[in-house]
Amino acid sequence: MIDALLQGFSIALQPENLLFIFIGVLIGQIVGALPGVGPAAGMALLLPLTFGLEPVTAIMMLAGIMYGGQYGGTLTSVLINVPGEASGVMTAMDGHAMARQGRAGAALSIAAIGSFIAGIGAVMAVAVITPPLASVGLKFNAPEYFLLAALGVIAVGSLGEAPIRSLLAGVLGLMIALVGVDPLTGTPRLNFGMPSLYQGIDFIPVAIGVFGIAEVLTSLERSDKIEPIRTRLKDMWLTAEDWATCRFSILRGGLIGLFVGIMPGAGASVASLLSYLTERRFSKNPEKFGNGAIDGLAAAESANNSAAHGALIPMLSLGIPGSASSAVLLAALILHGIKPGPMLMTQESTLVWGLIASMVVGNIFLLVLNLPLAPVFAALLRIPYVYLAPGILVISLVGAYAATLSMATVWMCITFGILGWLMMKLDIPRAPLVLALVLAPLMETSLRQSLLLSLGSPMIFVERPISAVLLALVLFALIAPIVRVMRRRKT
Amino acid sequence: MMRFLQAVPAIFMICLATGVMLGTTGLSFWDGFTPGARFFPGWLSGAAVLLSAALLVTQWRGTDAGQPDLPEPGGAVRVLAAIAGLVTLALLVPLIGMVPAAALFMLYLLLIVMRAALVPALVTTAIVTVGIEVVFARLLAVPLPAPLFS
Repeated sequence: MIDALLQGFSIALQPENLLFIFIGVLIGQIVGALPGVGPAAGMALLLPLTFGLEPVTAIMMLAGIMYGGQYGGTLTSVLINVPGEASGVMTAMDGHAMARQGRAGAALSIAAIGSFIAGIGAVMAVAVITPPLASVGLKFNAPEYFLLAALGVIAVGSLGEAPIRSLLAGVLGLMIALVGVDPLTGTPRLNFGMPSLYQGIDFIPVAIGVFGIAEVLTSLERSDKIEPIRTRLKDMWLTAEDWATCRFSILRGGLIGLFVGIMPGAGASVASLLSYLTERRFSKNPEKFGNGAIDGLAAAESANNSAAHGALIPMLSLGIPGSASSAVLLAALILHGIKPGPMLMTQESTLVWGLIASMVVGNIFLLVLNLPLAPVFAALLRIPYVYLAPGILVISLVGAYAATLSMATVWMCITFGILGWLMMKLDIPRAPLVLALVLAPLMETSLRQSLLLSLGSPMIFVERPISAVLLALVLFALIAPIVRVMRRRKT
Repeated sequence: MMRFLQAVPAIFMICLATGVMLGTTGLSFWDGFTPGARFFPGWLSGAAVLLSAALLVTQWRGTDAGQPDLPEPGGAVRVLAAIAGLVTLALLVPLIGMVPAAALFMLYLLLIVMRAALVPALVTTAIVTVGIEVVFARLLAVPLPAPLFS
């Protein structure tokens, strides 16, 4: 492993790769700092621009946007109380309270340091856990792949607050993937004779529409101008008491974030919420939570960055994305001609270890960007959003066109942008749709291959030990929300 | 009104499931020992109807956790105007080209929809359109539609 990691560093430290890692984390920092554009949207928008790059460089850059967005989101949460992502809600509660008390610098500082420590820890965990998990994955066959993909789609709903709505979004994503041709027989299916639908609905316009355009449309609803709280470099020093309060919060947040990130579909928002609630139990001053608790902020920020990295473990080892951002990264691998799955570790070891090493480098870049340069990025928030929104919309559409050179992609972007906006308004989560869209081909193909192997008998999912365990997990994920609702009703 | 809006996702998914089943009528559900091209769509449609029914029941019982978040009238007008602008942009691209259509869209959104000041709106439009031309057309050599200049 050490040799492989060193080889990864030799790739990540090549000048071109270093440049694109920096560009990635910088863009991540910016898209995270801009209210209304999250890392998944930023990655989807820039995905078409990476086609001219080497796959390893492109993936390093896109991953940089993914974890850079977690750092950048802290700025909006702390300085203007607008979390760019759901994972920033806990940060906004205590971070903004600290900012109002004149401690914006300390809040940004502990968030950056906590994110850095947890991020580096999570990268090490990715390096340690991914290879053995990929070895287990090599024993998988069609039934296990079907159940794993199904678990990925169902777990998103199971862990959320509105399980039925999440599952409906997942089914919608799977239905979108039906369009085109049948993956096994090549029979045209649901394309209604439209040539632009013969190839199916591409991932790029869906991701750009559902994340990018929908977010901008929602932001256009607000006409009020929010003035960010100012911060200065000299305010960013932490006191000895701050350190003493936060050191174990960062550790606990990082561990919880990693664990949650590995679980398919859970993501950074669940991680930050869970670690925040855990930290309140451990805190000597739980009454401060919600009113500027630095340990709560440290735990939530450490957890969301750790989860963003942890989500790469199932993606790299099994080809199952753990979050919307890792789904975009998985789609990027496919679009660059790389087949994800357990063989990735052996067939594309340069890419995997290069990516892991790049995350260490990227986190160092981000620490530098966020400690001395935080006031510079905070100045970005003073640009009125009215001038940014039209540019983001136009660049989204041009980027989508550039990916396929077809106006049909532009129309799809607009359609899915409207759909994404309606989903936001009707409180339907969008991440399950994108995860399901990515997992749909694997899910359908492996389901039908399984039934072909067993001559139509569903017992194949029970007879094989690994698939039986996965089936139990799928059933648990389906039953857990029902039990939760029943318990809640009793109390 | 709110109850109807809460039911919209379920109604939409039931309609979509019906559409999927109707759209795959010519395909086989089972081919000898193999599931056919309609197998997965059939199961998905069933799941969609089941989940939609479950959503409608939870809404009827008042246990649904979802909260529709409707925009203010002014905000809704801005969003609808932006959507109309996006559709017009897509219609204009084959006629006048990507960069001029993008410039017109930006000016429309900034000056008419968002009521931004003239000079910053012109500067923003110029920066974005020049940026598109330089990055996409020149650096990445993407053949953007440009009938006006062909």
